[in-house]
Amino acid sequence: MILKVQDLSHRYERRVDLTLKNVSFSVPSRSMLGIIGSSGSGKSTMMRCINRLETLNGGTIEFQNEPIQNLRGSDLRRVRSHMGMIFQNFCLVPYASVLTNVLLGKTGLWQNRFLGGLFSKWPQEWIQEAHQALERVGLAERVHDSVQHLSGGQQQRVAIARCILQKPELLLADEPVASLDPISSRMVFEYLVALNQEYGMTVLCNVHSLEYLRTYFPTCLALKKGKLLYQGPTAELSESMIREIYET
Amino acid sequence: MKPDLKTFRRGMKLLAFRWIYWVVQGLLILKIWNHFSTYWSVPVWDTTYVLILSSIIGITLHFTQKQFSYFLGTLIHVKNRNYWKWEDCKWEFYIGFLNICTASLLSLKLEIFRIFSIQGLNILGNISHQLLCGVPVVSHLMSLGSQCDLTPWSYYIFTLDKLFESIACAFMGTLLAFPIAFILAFFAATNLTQHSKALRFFCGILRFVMNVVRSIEVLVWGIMISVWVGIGPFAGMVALMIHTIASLTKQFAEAIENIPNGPIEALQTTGAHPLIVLVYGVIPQVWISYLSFTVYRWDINLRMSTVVGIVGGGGIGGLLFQETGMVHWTKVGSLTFLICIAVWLLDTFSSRLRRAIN
Repeated sequence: MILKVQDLSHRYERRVDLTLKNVSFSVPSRSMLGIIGSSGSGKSTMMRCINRLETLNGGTIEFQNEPIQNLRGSDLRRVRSHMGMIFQNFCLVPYASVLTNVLLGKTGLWQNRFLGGLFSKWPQEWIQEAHQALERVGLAERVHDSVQHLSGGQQQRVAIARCILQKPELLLADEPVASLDPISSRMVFEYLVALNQEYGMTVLCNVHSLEYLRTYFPTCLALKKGKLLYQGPTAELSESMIREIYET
Repeated sequence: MKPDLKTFRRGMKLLAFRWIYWVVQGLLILKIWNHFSTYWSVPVWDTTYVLILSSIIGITLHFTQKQFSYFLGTLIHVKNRNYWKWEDCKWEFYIGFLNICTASLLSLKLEIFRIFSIQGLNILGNISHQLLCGVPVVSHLMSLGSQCDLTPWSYYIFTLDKLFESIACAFMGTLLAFPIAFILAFFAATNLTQHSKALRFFCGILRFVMNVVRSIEVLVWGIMISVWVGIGPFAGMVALMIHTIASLTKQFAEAIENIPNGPIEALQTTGAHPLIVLVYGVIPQVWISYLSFTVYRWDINLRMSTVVGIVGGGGIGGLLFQETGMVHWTKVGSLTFLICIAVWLLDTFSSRLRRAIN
């Protein structure tokens, strides 16, 4: 098991209701896990909790058999460097080039000698790797363009290239296709499958479309109002269960 | 039933606010009354009685209106906490507004008839004529040379040196302030300091100090610094620099606070060190606004450098002050003309530069 979540609870500041209520599940290594649920069910919050972008209110998270819920400072950064994340709104650094944005995936390696990182140039082998990653996602010709001049689909591919460079063991994708057209969406999911198969990454992905869930994710997990409703093979997800997940 | 302390405290705050509000209103009414008492034969009011009276009015209003029931309600548990209602206090607000307007107008001592004074207009005309003599092209075109002494060209050459002093003062003041403000801004931005208690505390202190420094005018800084380091362009430069540091820190910090959090989080998720996040996630997003703000500040400093000169900051402002003191109105006209030309040229240049950066 690469990830083991036990009784995970979370509440946003100044809110009365819990966003996540005692969620427990585990994820085997090299698997593709889709997460479904209606808007506001806590899917994104759960992703952010796993990456510790949010502070937990209870429960434990074990990543590669190491409890990470209380980690801070360099220990947290070490764990994070093994966990990639793709965001709904791409989260690329504006005004920077495509190449720089891809190279940023490597910045986790600088954690112990960050001052050297600040004042040195990018190593040549990293630049080569970045070129290869961009070629892999079909953006070899846009290397020196500013990311603002790219379309939504292309920006998400840059984010994927950034993850290829980071080479994490676990990839958290938070609704990566929410603002993309069907063709770009399909392309993004195919790249996620490639990351899973070629680089052996475990992929956890929030999905809104059941069609994509059935096509790309053999196993899935369903959330409703912060509670875990289902975990198991996607093929066994019945119509009545889907209705229960999405009904208000 | 338990008394609700939170509501009780809010009720007490409201009472305190009402009381202060009416004390201020009382003092304003006293000012208006005393102003008219000089024209009419009415007795002058005593400040102590006014303060007592206005306190009684404030507190009575607080307890006789709806708030009274809420105040009582605070002693026992109440559910409705929205007791601040416009309907209850609108007349108090109207009276207060009218009071402030009247007292402000009276304190300005409006004496409109002075605008039409023949003597005043004559002096103004004389000075304007001499000022106009100092403007080179205009005085030649209007053949004013026969009526007053024109400024000799050698004076302009001497003045250009002083003008350059002022420009250098503004330039160096901005240039030296930039790196300091650049570093301080990261500590003054609330979104970067929220994760640590110590940083949050430092951020609060820094913001307070910067607000104080900024609220003191450059002119006052000029006086203080020229007492410290002596009269001259160096004092002017330091005064401009201090004010610029405070202004730029505030503007830079606001630029940082307005950037989207996404790229920062994306970098955090790769396990990057906070300094790396700052360099690769924050600075690329803000540097364009930084440059734009700095050029704008330079623009302001150029105009201010002439004024700082008046209080001992050297440059063309100092010269202007000297000539005004010696009643050389022609030379004052020449200097004003030069300042206008310089400010106009550099203003055009800086606005083009800002447009190019954006």
